[in-house]
Amino acid sequence: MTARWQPSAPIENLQQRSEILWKVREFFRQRGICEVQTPVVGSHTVTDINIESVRLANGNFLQTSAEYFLKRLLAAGMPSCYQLGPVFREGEVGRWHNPEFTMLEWYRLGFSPSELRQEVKELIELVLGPSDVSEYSLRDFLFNEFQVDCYEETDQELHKVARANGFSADFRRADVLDFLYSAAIENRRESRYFVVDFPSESCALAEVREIDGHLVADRFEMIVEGLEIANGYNELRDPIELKNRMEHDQRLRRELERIHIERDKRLLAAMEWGLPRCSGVAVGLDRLVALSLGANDIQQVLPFTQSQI
Amino acid sequence: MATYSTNEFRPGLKVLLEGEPCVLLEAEFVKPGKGQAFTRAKFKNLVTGRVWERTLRSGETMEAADVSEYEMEYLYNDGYQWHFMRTDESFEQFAADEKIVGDAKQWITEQDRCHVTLWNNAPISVSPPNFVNLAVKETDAGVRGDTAQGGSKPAVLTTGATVRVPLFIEEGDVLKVDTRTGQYVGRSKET
Repeated sequence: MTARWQPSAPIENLQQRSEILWKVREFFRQRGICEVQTPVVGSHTVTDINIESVRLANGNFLQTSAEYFLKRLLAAGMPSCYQLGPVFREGEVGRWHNPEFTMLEWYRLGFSPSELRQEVKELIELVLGPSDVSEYSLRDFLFNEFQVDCYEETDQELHKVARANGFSADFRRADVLDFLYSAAIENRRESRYFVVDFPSESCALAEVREIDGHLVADRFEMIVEGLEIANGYNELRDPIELKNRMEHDQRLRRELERIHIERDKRLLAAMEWGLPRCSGVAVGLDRLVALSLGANDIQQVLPFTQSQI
Repeated sequence: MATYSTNEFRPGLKVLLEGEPCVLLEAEFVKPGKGQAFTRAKFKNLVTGRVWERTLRSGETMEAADVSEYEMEYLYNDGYQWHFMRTDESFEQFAADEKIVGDAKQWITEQDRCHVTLWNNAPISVSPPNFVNLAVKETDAGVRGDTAQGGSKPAVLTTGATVRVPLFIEEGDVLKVDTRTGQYVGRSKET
């Protein structure tokens, strides 16, 4: 028996993918945004408890996003810039996930998140054609779907709603909200929309602000045809707050018995030097290509997926 | 007891869900934004046949269900239970009550080869052969030209099942029936 050597994606899909990459690069060139290529291997990685990095035998990590390197460039005086290239996440395998995937990530100096959302909308329209895009706060989004208030509802009530919708995991408020969010996306029949203002527990590296007495992360996601396509932030600039969040992640990792991740001291030093005011966003490029081609899964737009490398 | 983690999920896996034996039909990896990874899965309850959708946290484990399926010969009905015997020369016999035999009871006759699903070594479901040959016990004499019923009429078979048959079918004819749809296929060549 010979090994299955053929690619995952049909050759014509890869040719169309190439056309889309040209269009995307042209989009940024016309706007004077500089393309950069930062290392795929780094000595540090994210502390985020829901992202696992691939660790190499020498102790280095494949980067889960170019964020840390790009922010160090921004602190050093690089103007608005983007990276288009591979990133890696351990264990993420599925219809719309592959451990190595293509991320388009860009930062806009002086942009507010809503200005950046407008730019994301334009990029998506360049690839997929025009369409209306609505915007919901996460609070309204969950309320519309499940008639629960994600800030005011008791843990018990949220859990009851989640159970009624088929959630059978153990109880943790953050998990239940994540589940309700993914179920709401699944149920919603709307082509394109943004979700903004997430609970502050999922702030990652976004600024936090107060709305109606609740702390919310100044973050947005764009959903296209039920798929999460973009995740953007008003970027956190306070190095002390960043260090606190990393320590918080490290404590949670200990509690959940996940592997310990060191804080990236170079990123912290760059933040102390000063990150300019900016907004940044990451787009799942493979998914965008798949949507453009009408493909049913990510395999059809990647030359070789996990099971074939 | 063996367990399966969500990252070992493959269609066909037999697991216990809420204490009931189920087969995994499909599983999808879902990861909302910065959130927790989930596995959205569909299970078919092997006792009731109902499909359950559940979302589990990725990495969670489920208990394996000791479920197996065997080809068995239907031996006889003692008035209370249906008796089956494995065809793999182990000669092991199993008895199933009416609730478990379910719809299969209107199709099977002695010596038919069925598929019996065992959970913890006791039958939980019986599937009849896909096709069975059964004689007509009762049917009205067909009147040609009567198409009010679409040119068909009911026929009661020796096992008690009723199927719709063409008008030319007569009592005593042996029919081939598809047990999955309950439909008449044709007159049987074997008698």
